[in-house]
Amino acid sequence: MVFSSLTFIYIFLPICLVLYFAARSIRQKNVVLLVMSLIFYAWGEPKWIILMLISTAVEYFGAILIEKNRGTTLSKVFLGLSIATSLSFLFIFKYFDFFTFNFNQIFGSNIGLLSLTLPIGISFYTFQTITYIVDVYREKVDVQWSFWNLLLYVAMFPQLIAGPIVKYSDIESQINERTFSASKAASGFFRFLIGLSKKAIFANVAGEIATRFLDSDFEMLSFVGAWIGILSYTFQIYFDFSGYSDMAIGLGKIFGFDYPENFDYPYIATSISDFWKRWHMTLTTFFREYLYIPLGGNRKNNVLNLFIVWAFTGLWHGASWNFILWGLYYYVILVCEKLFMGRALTHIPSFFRHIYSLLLIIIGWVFFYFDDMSKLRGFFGILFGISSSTFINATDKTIFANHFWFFVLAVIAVIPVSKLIKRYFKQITMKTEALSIAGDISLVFSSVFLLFINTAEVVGSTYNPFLYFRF
Amino acid sequence: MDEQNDIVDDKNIFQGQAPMEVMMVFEEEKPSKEELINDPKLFNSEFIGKVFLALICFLLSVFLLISIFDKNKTISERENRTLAPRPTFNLTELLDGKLIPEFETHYSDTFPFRDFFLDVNTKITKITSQFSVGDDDVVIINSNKTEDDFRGESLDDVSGK
Repeated sequence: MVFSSLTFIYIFLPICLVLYFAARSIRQKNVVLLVMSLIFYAWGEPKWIILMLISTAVEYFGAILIEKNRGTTLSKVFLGLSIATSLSFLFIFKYFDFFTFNFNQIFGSNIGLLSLTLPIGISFYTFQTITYIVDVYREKVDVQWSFWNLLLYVAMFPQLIAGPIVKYSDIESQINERTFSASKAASGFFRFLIGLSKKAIFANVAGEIATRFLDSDFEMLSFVGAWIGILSYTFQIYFDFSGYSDMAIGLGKIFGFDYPENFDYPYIATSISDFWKRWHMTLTTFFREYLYIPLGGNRKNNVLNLFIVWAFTGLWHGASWNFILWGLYYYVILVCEKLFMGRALTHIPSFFRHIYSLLLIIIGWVFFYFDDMSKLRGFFGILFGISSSTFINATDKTIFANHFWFFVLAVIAVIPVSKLIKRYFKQITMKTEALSIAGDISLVFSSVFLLFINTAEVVGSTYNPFLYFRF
Repeated sequence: MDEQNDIVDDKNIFQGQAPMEVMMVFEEEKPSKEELINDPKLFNSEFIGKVFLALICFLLSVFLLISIFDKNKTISERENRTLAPRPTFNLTELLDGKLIPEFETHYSDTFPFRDFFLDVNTKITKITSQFSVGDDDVVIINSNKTEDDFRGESLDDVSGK
């Protein structure tokens, strides 16, 4: 089920909220959440719910076996087996065909492809279960003796299908003990609506503009058109994914959970290292803690370790060469920044640092968008003015003039203006009792307004794909 | 057990006791856990929060109830077409993942006050996008298409749409 769908907002959510608030004890509340989460998953993928259950069961028993054999080599064996099982599911469903296809191409063999559909959210929940088993092994968290509690952690619907990647250690203590606060839940719902607006209003409009250029006939595409197209995609992917994370975090708050933040205004980054501290932070954290540092970090083979991490980061985003290229593109830049460019960057004015980072980020999205290598090359040709037939044409002017205010709003939305507004709002409403009430009431009215506008947008739009759905 | 010690050492690293250079892309201090997790809550009053949540539950449930009891919508006069019918339940179709998309289409077709929301959406689109290219370019009003989209089509085809 997709958050920005009528069935989620107007069928699933009211049933879930009423049942959750009606439940008295935390146990009952958890049962409601678990059952609703399983329905949520089965809604889009009735068959593969079994895979998620098996994956969770493997980690559940794996962790118990690790605990029982603590201090012996067996615990390491069980750790390896559990991780290998989880990863093999991910490999079979997501990567088998990609590797087989390329193997066949290279060696002229004829191994059959599986042509399986990718189970929703598998890339996310596989990583979540890995954080559990590894942290049990490292004695960072206790074994979860209740299968249902572990399943609740894996399957919880706000973060199930598109992140954030919540580490088990992040919410271990919240599963059985969390305080309910109406003001927190209300703030969570407001945050959900903000995320919905990013998705239903900003991402969808940006997406329409982007596909009009990026999927167009390259013979006709002008230099300016290519830039408007990729710039729109830059907006789309941010609004889409950060909107989804906002919705997930907001929903989590309604149920009393604190999920880690996933985005921190990535497009105001002053370097590429800075960008990766702000973009999909939970994924970067995962790779750092569960791959990079176990490989040896930068104590040994640093450049090789970085290479492995970034190749995997690319591959995680999709079983296709363009994603691997995208990951390695960042590997090269990050190594350069680490070796010499990072120091050089500190000597230039921050304006140029922003330009440098943004340009590289935008160019990066070209790799991300085109999975067809010949299209990728063709688009770069136009983008760098090598093979574009014209500089600008009437279509570009029309679309740009037509969406001028949209672009202005989108720029305001990607810079931390909202952060400032939030801070001032908080400061002002904390001053007196009257202002606090006025602030709360203004939030109620703006929420109803946002809900109204977003409903109209969702009803009116047939264009509603989630970009991160295929990961 | 050397390798195990390695992992234990690493555990200490991300608890912030080791030099920062070990971080993958991180050179500065990581934001504190407080900053990462606790987005300040905007609502102050528990009472207004409760009223707000009740209001939201009420609003969403009203739509749900209307769509359950109002089953008579089969055609849309506004769009001049028959609406997608409610699919009949069938276990194999459900498991194949065919039933739910059919239901989703039916639901969005018969969504309460659909015509009203479509009007609102059209108005918003009109406000936010007005064609503003002059010169001699042919501009088709009330359509998102540009001249490139119509290339190769005869005028009759276009006006028939």
